[in-house]
Amino acid sequence: MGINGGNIPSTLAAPTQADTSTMSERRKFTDVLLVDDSKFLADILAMFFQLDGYTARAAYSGEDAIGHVEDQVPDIAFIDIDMPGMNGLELARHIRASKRARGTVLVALSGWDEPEHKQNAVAAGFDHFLSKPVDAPAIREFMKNLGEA
Amino acid sequence: MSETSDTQPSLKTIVAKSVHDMKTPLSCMRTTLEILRLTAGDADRQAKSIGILDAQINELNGILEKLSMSAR
Repeated sequence: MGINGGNIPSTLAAPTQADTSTMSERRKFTDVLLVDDSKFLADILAMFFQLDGYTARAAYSGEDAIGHVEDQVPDIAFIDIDMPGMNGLELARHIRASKRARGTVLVALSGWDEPEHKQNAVAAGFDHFLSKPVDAPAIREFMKNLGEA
Repeated sequence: MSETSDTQPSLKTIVAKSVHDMKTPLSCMRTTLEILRLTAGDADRQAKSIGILDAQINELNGILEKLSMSAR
C-alpha cells in the first residue's frame, strides 16, 4: 500500500522548458491521468502535473476516463473512488482487465480512509491509496517515493 | 453508514458525509495555492486559479450551511 498525503513543505520552483525536457527523459512516468468528478480538482491537479513537466490529462467520470485510456494508455492514473455512475473501483477493475492498460500504476484518491476502503481499493486493483485532502507538495513527495526525479 | 430507525440519517452519518465532502474542495484549494506560487507572472493561470479558489470557497460554504441546517 502506498503513502498517505501529508503536509510536506515545497521548495521547488516552476520548471523551465529545458528542465522539463530533461526530466521527461529520466522519468518513469510521463503521461498522467487525473480522474475526479470534481472538475476543479481534476483540472487543477492536471495543471500542477503539467507545470512539473508531465503530460497530464483530466477526466471527470469513469466513462470519460475509459475514453482517455483507450485513446492513450497513461503511465499512472489518480482516480477518485467516490464518483457517480462508474465509480473508481469499477474503473480500476476495467483498466486491470484491459490488455493494453493493465500495466498502468493506479492510485486511489478518496475522502474515505477507513481500512475497509483501502482494502476495497486493493481488491479492485489499485496499487496505492492517497487520502484526501491531498495537496501538491504531498503528490510531489508521493511521485518522488515512486522513484520519480 | 448508520441510519436511525425512522430512516433519517443519524448525526454521525451527517457529520461523516460532511467531512468527506469537504475534503475535495480542500484538496483543490491546497493545490491551487501551490499553482498560484508556481505561476507568478502568468496572468491566465493566475486568473483561472483565483476563479477555482472562489468556487471552492463557495462549495465549502454550501457544505457548512447544510451541516448547520442539519444541526437545528
